[in-house]
Amino acid sequence: MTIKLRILVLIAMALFILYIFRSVRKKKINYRFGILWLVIAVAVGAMAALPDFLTWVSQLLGIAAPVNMLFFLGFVLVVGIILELSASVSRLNDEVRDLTQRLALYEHDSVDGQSEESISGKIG
Amino acid sequence: MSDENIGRVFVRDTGKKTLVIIPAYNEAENIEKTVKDIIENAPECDFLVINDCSADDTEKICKDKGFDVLSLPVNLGIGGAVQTGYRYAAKHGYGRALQFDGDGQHPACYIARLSECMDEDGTIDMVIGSRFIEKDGFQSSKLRRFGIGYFTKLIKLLTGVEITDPTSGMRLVNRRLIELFAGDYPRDYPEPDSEVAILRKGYKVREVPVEMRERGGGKSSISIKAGFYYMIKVSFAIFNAWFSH
Repeated sequence: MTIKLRILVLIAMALFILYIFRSVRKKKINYRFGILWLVIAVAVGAMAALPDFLTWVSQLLGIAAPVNMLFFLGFVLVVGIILELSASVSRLNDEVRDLTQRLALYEHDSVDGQSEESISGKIG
Repeated sequence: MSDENIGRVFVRDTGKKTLVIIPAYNEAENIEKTVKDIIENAPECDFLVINDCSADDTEKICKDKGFDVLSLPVNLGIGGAVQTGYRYAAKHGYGRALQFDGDGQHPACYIARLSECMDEDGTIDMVIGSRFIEKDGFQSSKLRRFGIGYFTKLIKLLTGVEITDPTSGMRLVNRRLIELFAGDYPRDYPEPDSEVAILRKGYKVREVPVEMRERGGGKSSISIKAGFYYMIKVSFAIFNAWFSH
């Protein structure tokens, strides 16, 4: 990994961390996801700052170039986050569905002046 | 999901009654004749139109005509709409519930045939109205029949039970299945995988022949492009339902 690339990665991560801080402060991202992204940015930055460690890990995993190792780890992490987001969206979907149904059932059954006859589905 | 204490609960003798659940999404052109068909040909049943956040006049037409309508504030798709009906039936103590499309495909005169099938054999949990037993009426397009045939074979392979019309949206269920579906029901294209799920759990399913019409105005919920998603989603869901037992 060249010194140029290491500096580039460190600058990119520093900007990224600033951006995350700003987004959390402006409530565009909540703390849960903000912390997740911060941990990743710090980890990637640390890899760039400590090239010996990166070389050691890539040799351990049988990856020739340490920089490939960095990209590979980044890719794995991003896939992990996207999976986590899919799970979040799915759970939100189920929650919205439940709430929508509850609200509609409640509204339907609490309409004032509705006789039992029209509730039962007959023309009132 | 299990807490069903929503709003006022009307205490009525619904234990022996059937609730007809009519999901409707942008069915302004069809909803009036669909409901009138039910009032005329299945007068013993209660009905409830589930308006799935339609952008057209579906809700207004129902209210003007005095039809009982429940409007969802957010579009949930067919599965979420039908499940709302099951939750309503569960909450109000209905003994049976029948799904009936709001687009005018299903003639209400066959409701009695589904009910009779369940009357004759008390162990049956679900009765499906099938287009493909007597092969009368509108038989759907060749492409769709091919897709339906594939589901039939897949379900037969996994459960040993032959369901000739697994995508039929005209189904009668008993109290046990009302409660099951109120708690858990697939989100989209719900019919085939819910059938595999209940067959795996040991519920009994029967089919009776019905004729269906080609849908009236409006648009079907399944376009050609959506057909691919349908095939893959349902295959995946069927395998899931099979494995999760």
